Amino acid sequence: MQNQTVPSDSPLLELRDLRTGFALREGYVKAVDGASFSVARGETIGVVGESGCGKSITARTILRIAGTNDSELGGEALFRRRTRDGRPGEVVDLLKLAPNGREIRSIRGAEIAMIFQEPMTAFSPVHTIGNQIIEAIQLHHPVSKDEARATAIDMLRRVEMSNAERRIDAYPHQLSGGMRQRAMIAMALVCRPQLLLADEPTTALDVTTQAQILALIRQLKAELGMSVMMITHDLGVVAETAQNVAVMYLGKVVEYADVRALFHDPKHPYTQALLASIPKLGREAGARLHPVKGMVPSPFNRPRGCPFNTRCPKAMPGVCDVDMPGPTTIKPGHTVSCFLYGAGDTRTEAAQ
Amino acid sequence: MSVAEQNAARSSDTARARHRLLDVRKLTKHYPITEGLLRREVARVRAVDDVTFHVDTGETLGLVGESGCGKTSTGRCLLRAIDPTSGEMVFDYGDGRVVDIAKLEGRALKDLRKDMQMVFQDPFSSLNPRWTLLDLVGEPLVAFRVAKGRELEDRVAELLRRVGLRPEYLRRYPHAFSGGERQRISIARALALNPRLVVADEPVSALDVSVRAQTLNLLEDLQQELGLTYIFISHDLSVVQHICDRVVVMYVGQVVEVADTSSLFFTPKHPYTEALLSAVPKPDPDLASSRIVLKGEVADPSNVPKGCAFHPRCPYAVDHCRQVEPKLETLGDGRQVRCHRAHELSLSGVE
Repeated sequence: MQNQTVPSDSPLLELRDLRTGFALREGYVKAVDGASFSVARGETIGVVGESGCGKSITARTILRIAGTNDSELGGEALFRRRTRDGRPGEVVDLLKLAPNGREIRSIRGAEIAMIFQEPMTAFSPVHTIGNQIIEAIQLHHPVSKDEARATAIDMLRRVEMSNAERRIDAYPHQLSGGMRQRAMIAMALVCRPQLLLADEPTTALDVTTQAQILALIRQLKAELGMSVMMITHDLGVVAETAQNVAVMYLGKVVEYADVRALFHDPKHPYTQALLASIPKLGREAGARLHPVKGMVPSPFNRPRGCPFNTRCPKAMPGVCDVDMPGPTTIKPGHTVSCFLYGAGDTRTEAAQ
Repeated sequence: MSVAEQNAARSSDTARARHRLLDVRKLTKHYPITEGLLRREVARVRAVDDVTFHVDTGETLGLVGESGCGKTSTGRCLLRAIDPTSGEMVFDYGDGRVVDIAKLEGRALKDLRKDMQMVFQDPFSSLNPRWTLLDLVGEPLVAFRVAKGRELEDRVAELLRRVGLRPEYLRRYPHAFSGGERQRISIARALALNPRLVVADEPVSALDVSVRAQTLNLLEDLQQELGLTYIFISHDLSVVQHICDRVVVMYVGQVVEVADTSSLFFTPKHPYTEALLSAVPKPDPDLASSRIVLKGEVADPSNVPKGCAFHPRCPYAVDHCRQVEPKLETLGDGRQVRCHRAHELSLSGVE
């Protein structure tokens, strides 16, 4: 889809009813089942949920690296490209691009980059980090190896890697976890992407290193003016980094709100339950936790109706276990998919 | 006598006499780094370095610190899963029997394990996939010839019920269970022999957020019912604050601070504790983070900095800290801290 008439303040990325399914031997898995939200320019959006909620697959679908052969995609992922001189360009539907075609390859790494949870597996162990960063630069820019190397060293300095001139020739195993994560951020940002997909970037790190990496992402985001999609299960990380948050459960976005509304006035019973179940540092520590009953259902055996109805304390028999509610707008910028607030706005306005 | 009755008897005992269950003194575990044909020792990794603390019956003691600080090695030394290099670990049964775990051998060591059990972090690798729940949870009962046959099944079914699993699952394999349920299986196995002390090494770190709370509540309930004592090893400070009575903070193999939980969290005395607390992301967007971001990385335990091990990252370090290694000192209120400047610094904890 191409559309030149969209005003330039339109979102950088807009997901409309995004669906990703996998036909596996065990059955069909709807990994992402109708996710709709958008990412504004310069915004950090948090995508939270537990394992199996589809948050990582959402990001991988956007980059078109989610199991390309056995996956079925649906909906739209409208991304506004950047022109050669850095102005907003045409809008493309990422889902319509060939997964290995020229266009997606010119977006992947250059305009949308991704950092992963475990940098040890994301880097090739047999190449130096320098060569891997240089490869990323030369893939997108016609520069000599020496120029690329200078750019790479400069980027490593920007991620506060001490001794960048020496460490550029290190192999991934020679670096500590925090340093590897810095190197991966350097590789992701070296082409100055418009959008950074950060998939649990600090989950494998210690708290003090996590604080360093989160501060670094925040600072580079401001410097480069990029948008960040922060995918995490840690509500603390979301509260500190994101402006808007999408809460996912079994492939669906059940609530979307700005970060204050989400933490102070959560609407969806799942969001409320999640917030009640985490131990908080501070005065109330030690008070009895209120766990969500049961566990996340198997993706092969999704409950009928609302995916949360089997665990929901407010589930209404005959309603919630029959139909899936659509997103209902509570106030501008805050939508929730729950029958407690109505059956949903009309489908076309579903996306916030 | 059933498990429940035995434990009821014991918990009323412990209520009467709360005593020091375990006294760890100068515990040290060094791993040699060798080189060359003759395996000459060129350096040592000081995984656990002169660690001293105690645990009273019925309490939950937290061991916290970042990866590589020696908290897991300490836990494993306590069970003699690894042998300490030196130090004492005095275990008091409360009935006149007092043993030094570090010196136990053979039969006596095996016997001790009835009273000390461990729960591991990863419920996917800590359960043998070829064993049924009956085999897994019943193994300690078989190994110590406590029960067999029909009685074994009854005992295992009772244990499963106790951790919130259905007894009908007896003949199922672990692959049929989710992470949270597997961790319940591990807990049931740890409880099979009525241990006095359970060492739980990151028991909820691998679990989903919504399941984590269930498991923490279960551990608390079991402690109440059975009069258990826990050593809770974790890097997650919000979980530690929730469940622990007292906390030991470790850094590069050493204890840097020991205090009861609320003192430690609200008025930390060691700059490392302060930095750790400040680094935890708070699930509240209004708590503007005035964060102490530590510079650099955790020191290398094979090459510990001279003076205080924390001085290269410490915002309060002075010359003295770079030269002289501080000792673990006991302050007036019974708190312990390893810092030269503990008396003069006023550090901030959580709000």
